[in-house]
This record gives sequence, C-alpha cells and structure tokens, in this order.
Amino acid sequence: MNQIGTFLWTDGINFFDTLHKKIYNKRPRKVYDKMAVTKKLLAPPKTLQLSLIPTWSCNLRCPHCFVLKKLNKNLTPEETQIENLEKFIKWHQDKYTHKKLTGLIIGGEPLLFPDICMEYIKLIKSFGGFCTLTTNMSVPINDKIIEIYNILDQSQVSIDGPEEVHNKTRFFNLNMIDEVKTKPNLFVQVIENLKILKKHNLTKKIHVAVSIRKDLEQKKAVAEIKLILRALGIENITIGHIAESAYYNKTQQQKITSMREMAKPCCSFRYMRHFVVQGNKLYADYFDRKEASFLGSLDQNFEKLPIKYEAHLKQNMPILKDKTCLSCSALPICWGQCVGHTLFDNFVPSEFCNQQQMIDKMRGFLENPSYIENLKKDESNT
Amino acid sequence: MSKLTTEEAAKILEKYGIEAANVDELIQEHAEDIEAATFTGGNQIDSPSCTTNNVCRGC
Repeated sequence: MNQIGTFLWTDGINFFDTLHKKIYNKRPRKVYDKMAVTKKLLAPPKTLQLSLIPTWSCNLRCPHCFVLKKLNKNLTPEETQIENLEKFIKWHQDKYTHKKLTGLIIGGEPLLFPDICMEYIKLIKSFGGFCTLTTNMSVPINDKIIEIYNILDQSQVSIDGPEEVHNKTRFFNLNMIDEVKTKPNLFVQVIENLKILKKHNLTKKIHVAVSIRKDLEQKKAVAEIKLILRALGIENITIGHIAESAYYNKTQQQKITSMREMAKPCCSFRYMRHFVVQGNKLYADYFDRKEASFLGSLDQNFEKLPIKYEAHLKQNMPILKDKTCLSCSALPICWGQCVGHTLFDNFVPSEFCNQQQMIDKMRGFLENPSYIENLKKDESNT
Repeated sequence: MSKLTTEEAAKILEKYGIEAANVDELIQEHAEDIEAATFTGGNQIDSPSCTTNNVCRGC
C-alpha cells in the first residue's frame, strides 16, 4: 500500500481536499481545526500494523541505536501470548473491517529468538498479512532462520558501509558474546549470512539500508558495499546517513537540527493504527522509554483500547500543540512528530522543520505522472 | 566520483568469497546509482510504501 496515496485520494475531510490547491495556488494558510485533525487520525483504520517484539535483547550495542536504552542486558525473550494476539487481531478486524494487516518483527535483535519469530510470522500469514523482519544479520544463520526467511515476505538489514566502516560503527554486547557465539568480525558475519541466504535464493527478499556516518561518508565506500550487495543478489538497497544516537543526546540534537535541510517526514501516529506488541502488553509507541504509551494487556477486554489510544494520541502528538504545523500544507504527509517526540520533552516540530522544502518535495511527487498513477492504483486496490 | 575498477571490484569480491561472473556490469550499475545517491538520512519519503516507515527513522 502506498501510504501517501491513502491520504491524498481517500480523505473525506475538507482540509485534505485543499492540500493540492494550497500547494499550487498558494492560498493564504488556514489553521486546521484541531478537532478535524484528531477526527482524521482516529478514523477507522484501513491497516492494522503490529510491531512485534520477540525480545529487547540484542547481540550488538550500536551507539546510533534509537532504542539503545530499552535493550536488555542479557539474553531474555518476551513472553508471547499468540492465542490472545490472534483474538486481538480478530477483534480489530471485526471492529474496523480493515483490509490490511502488516506485522513488523523488530526488537532488540529478533533472530536471537527464531522460534518466537516463527510463531509471529505464521500468525500474521494466517490472516493473509504482510510480514517483515528487521535484523542486524549478525546472528549466525541456522536452519530455523532459513525456514523463517522462506515464509517471510521481506526483511530489512541495516549495514553501515563496507567492512572497516561497519565494524567501526557497530559494537558487540559484551554480555552476550558467549551466548550467541558471534564472530569477532561483524561485517564478515553479515556477509557470510547473506551468502547462505543467497544459496537458498532468499536474498531477493532483503532490503539493505546502508547508513554511513557523516564523517565516514566516502563515495568509494558506498561503491564497495553496493558492489558486494549486488553480487549477493540484493537489488533493494538504500543509502543514507546514519541516524545519530538517542544515547548521545547532543549528537541526536544535531541530527534533528539538520532535518531543516532534509524535509523528512516521519511520524508513528500517521497512516494506520499501530500497536507495539511486547509479550502480552500493547503499546502505542515503539520508542516509548517511560511506559507512557502502554495501552493494555492482551488478556484484557479489548474494548477499552481505542479510548486509551485516543487519549494517548491527544496527549502526545506534537502537531496538535503546534499552530505552525496546523497551518502547514504538508501536514497530511508529515504529521510533525519527527524523531524528536520521544527524545525531548515539549518537542515543537516546526522549530526543526524546513516547511518550504517539505512543500517543494510534495510538489515534486504530485508533478510526477507515474507517481500519481501508482498512487491511484494503490488506492483502487485498497 | 570514485568508481571502482574491474580489478578493485574483483579483489573485493574475492576477499569475501563472493562469486560474480558479471563484475563489469555490477560496477556500471552501481556507478550510476552512486552518482545519483542522496544522503538524506533515510528514505521514508522516497519509499512511501516501505512497511517499516512507521518505526525505522532511516537508521
């Protein structure tokens, strides 16, 4: 599904209808009605997205990790309640009659617990859902993991460049080296794993996000990693700068400030109903470090969940408190949360946004005939 | 632009034990990509259908 398309073509609320006109006619901006924005956000979702957390343990301790402070020190799985999760998905489908279900298995490093991953994938697939898994690909591949990749729809692997760059950027979790028997050369481990997946003709399912630290940015480094990945049969490769660390707050602040030059929309409140499943608990926010987004347990009555979700959204969504965002033409694709919401108290998105650049980017999309056609196709398939 | 030579590319692939019959093609393909690469810190807006958009932050 194309998410931007969903907003541009299906929204029934007036302020979205004016999006196109606002961009092209440059009409005077009108502050969106906060109630209308909330109403849109709380409209029956067309997609249920579940972020499934098999574990908050990880074999690595990368300083750029956004959930570094949430990671368990040792190897600890989350207790799953697959039967109750199944009941929850059924309840959600019955209540909202949504057509799409996506499951994103993430962590922690999910492949540390392949049995739990397998349970989640089978459940999502039993509902006809689309299932992805995000991994650092540095857990040695075994038969169980091969089995996982056979039924998985897609997997995102993050790499920070060729060997020297990757190994300079990533670090072991020293508490877990013995348990997981990770090889000392992380990059080589990743490549060896990808070679095994290639032998099984499974690398086509892999999307590699190559993120290189700004001070290490070298075009030759990019050339090298792309060569290696392509030779391994991986076509889906994206290149970007590393997202600096939540752990190193100062660096993170620089990152957010640099967003003024990026026009990068990013908000976990937009587009779909998103629940984070951690053991038997449901959360609204993957980045939540203070248990503030806790919605309820899978063994409780689900009817109260929408009320809690609504309350969480109203209390936490930054744009609802930011008049500049509420008057912005790019709001329908941005939603203003950026990466600051979970890192800073009283985060004001517009202070970090290059609004004109965001609008220019949207104009670029709208002027691209093939993009528009794809959006319409997506919409008709929804 | 720092394009790899055929020899450099072959050496890199050999180092990791990766077999590829079409080294020249691989170099040509990625040379174009690198020229066009934008370091934007993530691809959310460029890949709006990405299913991990919701949480990935482009890292």
